Amino acid sequence: MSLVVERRGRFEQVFEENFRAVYAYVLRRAGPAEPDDAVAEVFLVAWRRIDEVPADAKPWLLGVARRVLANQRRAAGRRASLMARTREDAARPAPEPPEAPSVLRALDRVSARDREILLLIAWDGLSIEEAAHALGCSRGAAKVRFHRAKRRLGQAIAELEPEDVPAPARLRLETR
Amino acid sequence: MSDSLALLAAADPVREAELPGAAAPQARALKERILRADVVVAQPSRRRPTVVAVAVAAAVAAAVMVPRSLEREPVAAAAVLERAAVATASATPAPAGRYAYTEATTITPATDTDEPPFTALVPAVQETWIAADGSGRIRTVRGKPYFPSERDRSRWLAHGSPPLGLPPGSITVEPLPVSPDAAALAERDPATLDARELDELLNTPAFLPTDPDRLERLLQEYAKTKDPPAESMMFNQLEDLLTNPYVSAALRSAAYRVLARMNGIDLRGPMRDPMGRPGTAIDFPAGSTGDMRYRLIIDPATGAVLAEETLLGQPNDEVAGAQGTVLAQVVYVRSGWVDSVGSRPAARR
Repeated sequence: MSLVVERRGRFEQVFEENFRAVYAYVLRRAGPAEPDDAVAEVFLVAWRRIDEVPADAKPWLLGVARRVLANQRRAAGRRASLMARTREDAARPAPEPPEAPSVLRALDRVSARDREILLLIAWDGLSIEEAAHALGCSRGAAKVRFHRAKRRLGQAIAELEPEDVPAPARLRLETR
Repeated sequence: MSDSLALLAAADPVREAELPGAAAPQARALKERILRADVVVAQPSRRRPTVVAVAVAAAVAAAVMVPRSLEREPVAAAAVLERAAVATASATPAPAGRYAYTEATTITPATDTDEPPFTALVPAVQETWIAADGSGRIRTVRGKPYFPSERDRSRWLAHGSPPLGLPPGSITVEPLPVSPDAAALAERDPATLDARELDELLNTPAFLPTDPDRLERLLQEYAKTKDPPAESMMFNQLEDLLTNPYVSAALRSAAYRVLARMNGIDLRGPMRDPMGRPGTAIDFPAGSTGDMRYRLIIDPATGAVLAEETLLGQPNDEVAGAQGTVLAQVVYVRSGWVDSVGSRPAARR
């Protein structure tokens, strides 16, 4: 089998298995405004570097997506808060769980750095080790970063206005 | 999962399972477009290990800036590169056959990032036959992989001695054709081109500006679309222009002049290449950390690139070894023009 055929086959496999995850990653962060360009660029990079794509391709691809989105934001000079856009675009027909609004507001209060690792794990479904790969840091660093971010998110939830907090959380708040 | 994380997971605005999958028409169209658009495979002689090395550097990059104190003799470096620019203008042969033939010996790093990470080095001899439209063939004969350090070897053993890269042997590649859109792209302001368009243009040297100012601006825009730092990407792209047989004498001169303007060029002075040929070496910091550097050995009499290397500065998580260990290398053994794939030029350069 020629090298080109092998590379094509590998790329097709990576694409089939991860298209949805990359698409979702971009939608969650950029909103549906222009996700296609970013998704296309991620897979173009994957094709060009197909020899470097590891067996567990998803963290690698999300790491590329992260840089692609960062580049796009820089290029467009957009300063809009990442999360503000995600929330604005979050409208969907099904009723939201009652907890959602406050946790998203809490998410706005933590740093971008904290948000990044929290979302990779809570939304994109990566393990801590995979998130480390996507972020280009060591597993130990990711672990520390994740636990700190989770703690700060919990604090931010607790600090929200009591009327916004669903009953069980408010109870917890009052006992503090 | 803790409370806050469960709340967060429940607030995911995107229902991933309901999104169109890879089989949806738009996704399939995208996949075909990407496979068609690729031009990198057309010139895998430029599958230069530097790309891999940048990935290695990026993986370990805490944002440590490279000290720019490397500018030991910027004026001298600029003078050497200017001489190369003048020399190459008259010494670059025009195409004289259907295929550009190149023979090179290469060392390519293969990094496994699974814990604990290690790097193996894979030597090879590569012959390429490339036509102006990007079609042709690459023949690679791989040698026996080796390790830059005992640590890398023992980690490889700890992984259960997995196979390293492709098995040794000869591989024939049918490259893909170069995109036809470059002429239109060349007319546009580089700042208005997106990443894909810049890639297409950069892979079509016939349409690149031969004015150093314009070339520099185009390369700066191109580098912005790649992994930082931009200087590394510019340096890589200039290396590509200096070693691509379809780059005209005028464009090669311009590439040398853009190189001469870059901050961080470190003139190493006279140096023999791995084949023992006399040349002049310049170094450039690689990636965003100081743990690797690129080296270019040129023949100042002709402006020809004799060899390119990526050298280890400081050992990092993914590769160990002594300072100066060669992690990646391309030695240009000979080149020339032939009329058919498989034939070799009679006279050695």
